[in-house]
Amino acid sequence: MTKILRLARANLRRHKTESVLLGILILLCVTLLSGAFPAEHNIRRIFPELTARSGAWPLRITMDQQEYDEHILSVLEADDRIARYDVYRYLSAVSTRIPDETGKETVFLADFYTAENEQRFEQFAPESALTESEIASIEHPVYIPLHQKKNLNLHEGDPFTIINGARKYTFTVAGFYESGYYDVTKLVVSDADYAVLKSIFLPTVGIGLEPKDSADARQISEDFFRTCEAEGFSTETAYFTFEQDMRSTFSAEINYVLKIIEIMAFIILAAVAVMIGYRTVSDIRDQIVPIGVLEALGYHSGEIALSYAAEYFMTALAGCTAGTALGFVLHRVLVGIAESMKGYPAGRDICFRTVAVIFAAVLLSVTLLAFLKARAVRKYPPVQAFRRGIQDHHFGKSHFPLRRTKRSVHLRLAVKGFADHAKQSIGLTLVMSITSFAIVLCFILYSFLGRGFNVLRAIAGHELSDVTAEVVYSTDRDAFRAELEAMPEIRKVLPTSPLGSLTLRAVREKTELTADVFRDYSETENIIPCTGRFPQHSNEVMLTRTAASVNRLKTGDTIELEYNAIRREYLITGLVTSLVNSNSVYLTEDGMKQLYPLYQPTAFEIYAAEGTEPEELRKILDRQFGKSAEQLGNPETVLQGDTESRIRQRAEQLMAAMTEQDGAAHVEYAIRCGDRMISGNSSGIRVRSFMNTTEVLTAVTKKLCDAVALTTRMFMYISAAVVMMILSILMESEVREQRRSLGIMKGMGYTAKELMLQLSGRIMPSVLIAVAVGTVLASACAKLLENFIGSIPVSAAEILLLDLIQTAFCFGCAYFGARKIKQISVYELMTE
Amino acid sequence: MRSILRTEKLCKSFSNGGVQQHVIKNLDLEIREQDFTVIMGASGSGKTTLLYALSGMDKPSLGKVYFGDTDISEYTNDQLAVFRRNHCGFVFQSIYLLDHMSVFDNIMTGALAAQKNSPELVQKAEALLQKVGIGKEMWNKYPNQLSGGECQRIGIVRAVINEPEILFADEPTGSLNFAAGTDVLDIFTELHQKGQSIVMVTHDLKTALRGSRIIFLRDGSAVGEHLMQPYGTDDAKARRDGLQQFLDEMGW
Repeated sequence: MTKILRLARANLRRHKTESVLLGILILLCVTLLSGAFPAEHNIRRIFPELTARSGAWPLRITMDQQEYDEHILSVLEADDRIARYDVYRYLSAVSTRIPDETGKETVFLADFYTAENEQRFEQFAPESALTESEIASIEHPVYIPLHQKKNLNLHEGDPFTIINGARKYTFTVAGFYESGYYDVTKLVVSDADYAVLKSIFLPTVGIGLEPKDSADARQISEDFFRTCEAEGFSTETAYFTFEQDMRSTFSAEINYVLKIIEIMAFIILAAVAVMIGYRTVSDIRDQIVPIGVLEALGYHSGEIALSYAAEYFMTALAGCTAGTALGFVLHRVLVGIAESMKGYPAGRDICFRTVAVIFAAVLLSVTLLAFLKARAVRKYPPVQAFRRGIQDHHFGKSHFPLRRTKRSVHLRLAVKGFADHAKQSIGLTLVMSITSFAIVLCFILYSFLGRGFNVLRAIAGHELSDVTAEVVYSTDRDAFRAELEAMPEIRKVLPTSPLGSLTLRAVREKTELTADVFRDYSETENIIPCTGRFPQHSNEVMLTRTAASVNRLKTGDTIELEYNAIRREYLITGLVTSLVNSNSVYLTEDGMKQLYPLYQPTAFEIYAAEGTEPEELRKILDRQFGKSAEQLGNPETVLQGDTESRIRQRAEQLMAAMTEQDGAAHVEYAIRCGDRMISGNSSGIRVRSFMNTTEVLTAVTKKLCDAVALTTRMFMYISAAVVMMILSILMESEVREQRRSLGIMKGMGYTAKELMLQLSGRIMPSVLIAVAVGTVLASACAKLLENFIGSIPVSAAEILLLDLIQTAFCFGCAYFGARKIKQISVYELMTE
Repeated sequence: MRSILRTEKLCKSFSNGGVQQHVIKNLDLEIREQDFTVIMGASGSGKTTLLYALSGMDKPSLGKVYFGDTDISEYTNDQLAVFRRNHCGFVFQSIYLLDHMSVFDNIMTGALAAQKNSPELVQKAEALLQKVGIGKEMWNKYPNQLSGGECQRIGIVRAVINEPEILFADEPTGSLNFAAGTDVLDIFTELHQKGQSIVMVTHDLKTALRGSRIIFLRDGSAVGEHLMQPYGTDDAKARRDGLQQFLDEMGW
């Protein structure tokens, strides 16, 4: 053992730089693995622990209060798969916003609960630094989920303002509580404030369900809808939320980051494996004579192979130890990021078993691989070793004979060198292809996701205007549109149907499709067919790419759609990538009228003129069109102010209900109150709601985009560093192995620079092949991803430029790595 | 004959464990065109060091080396490489063929270092190989498949393919048997007869007899010079005796 270790130490001394670089690669790999895998374990625990602590229901149904019929509960009671359930109520506010530190308003999706309803949903147990009397003295207290405490930097006693339209509601933070519901922030307010907000936000009913252990939640959902339909309960606005879905989307962004880190680690491990193979073989060839001497002295090949294994074991041990230490740091960083993103503790404890498995697996893999490769010494008994491995030389065809040199001898020698070492070049080409693939794919994703809002525009598959106005049925659409178009702050207005308001059934495919309807699609700005063209006639439609792929439809096929028992056949003219709704069908107004003759657009996509900010436009529209029917029509609004104000508010409520629900075109009222006549009309109630869909969608997707963009950028840098280290190791080995040949060539008059050029040129065919393969694979992968995340615009020019940069970078690294040629002294070589 | 190489107070020293070891000491020497200069001396006298300093393989520690009128002692490594490829040819004791290249590619690697490829160059390489007895059947072989003598003859072709102004040889027959060594020396003689300037280092009397000028080195200084008629133009015994006498005087 001692003699093996002595040989290994001697080898290490000889390969100092290469060993250090290989150690760094192993370190990097172990750091990423032992940071990411345990972090994934911690992060995966957040959601179940959180729901267990908060007591949130694992399965929930939500529906508009207007639609809710408490007899629907009988359906649940009859279902023996449900252990228990409870009903809670809340106010849903989808278009609310909050001011940030600079006063700029940002979208803030919030639901309002009373403490009682929150307790029905979760185990509402607020924490507060304030005393009970301090809390009691707060006029408008609000309890906020703990995860928002960090996000919004809130403390007890801080003001907390919610903006809805032109109105602001300021609360005081009374405390925080743990919530397992994170999509929308649940704000727990006082009963009095809840009563006021009822008139503003949409009252919603939630039913929390606890299925029995073996029950399939999705089956329960399907059976619920089927039974409701059979028993005549309306469930138009009802939807189920599954714990499984919430669990998978809870930390989706950080999970993407972790997956990318893990993939990167495996790429580095592959690079390490190829490098070990390459180095071991080239070192044996270089050291063939000393190996022969050792064998002549009585060492057997197994011992020599073990000395190589011991050399790599020592390198890997150092790399793994340092990598594990750094892995602990990375673990803390990743868990910290996840905690700050989610606002919940993930626990800083690290799974030592995972770390130990990673440590042992990397260490053993490296050692075993080195041993297996080093067994090549068996091919060289002493005599052959002294003859410099005569059997190892090929005596076949000489590749690229120099007599046919046409231009540069350096280029010829480089290509010749590549061809002579083609077998060794396969490994290099493979590793470089993987790293090139990683770099190009990361670049595509980064340049795509880094565009922020533009990404959304490109892949939304839904028109993203600055403000979407939904009008009440009685509103004169043409007049409303004309009025909007006359406003200088508005550039364009497109009538359409509200997002998700029309659901059509594809008869043959037995699936439901959400309809998007526009009069002329050429006027839209974000609906872009990825294949085919826009529908232009009443018998034409487009489909989302996903809907087409799932139902095996393509451009040129026909599809039969049904609405209210009317069926029509349509020709599919094109496909659209859609992030917003993957199951959409796009029809013209005339096309929609084929199915629904009374169809009229009830929404308008409004585009701000140049120089007008969307937020500013929304405020202008709020001022111009006043309260929306949604705000006015709520019968539960608490009337405030003097008698006249209360009368006017009540009249507005009734008018809003008549226009909104009964379709009244115009309502006027006149009420005698003592000696005064209070009168008014419904002309101001034309708008149901104003919403900035774009901003809502951006807020939802921003975190994911930012996280993936950051990771892909980091991934690109790491890939570049890996490439640099691979090429440095390679060049060090090459220069060492070819020291004699390079010295002879120097003696012949080749300059060090020319030899560096030749040596770095030798890897260029591998690099060019790898870059081409990497680019093709990455582009194919991006195309594949398009099926999930929508159209990813790939600029051929940018990719070409990236490929050129990669090639130049590799050449630069190799050229720089070969700089040790300068140190080769011809004189020393000749006289040794 | 005009001077082709000249040294002025050439010194070469090496640091050995912090101690300066002066191998060449203030050497003034002139190598003339078309001479077959043989440098002789005892082991450690500085023969090889002098050869490499003259040929631009190594830089002097002090003093000057002139190639014609050009001082090459201040050249950078890359400038020296260009100098070597344009003006010099080398034949080594250890031959130093490139193991991973075929015979013909070994020749062409040397040739293409200094000139562009052309059909004439290829023909010239073929002719030279034929001339030194390396038949066509060996051109695509690798050095490991050839004998030492064959390898050295290939080494000579590689050294002369660019028609160097001066050919340096360091113990060219040192690793060869008698017959192979004689063949190689015959090639050198033939080259010299055609006007090739040659500087050769040897400690072998038989090899030294092929020269026209013998310089004897002792402790880094040229302590004696012996001139001879071109090989084959005088009486062989007298030539041998004359050289032997010179070497005896030098303490050989």
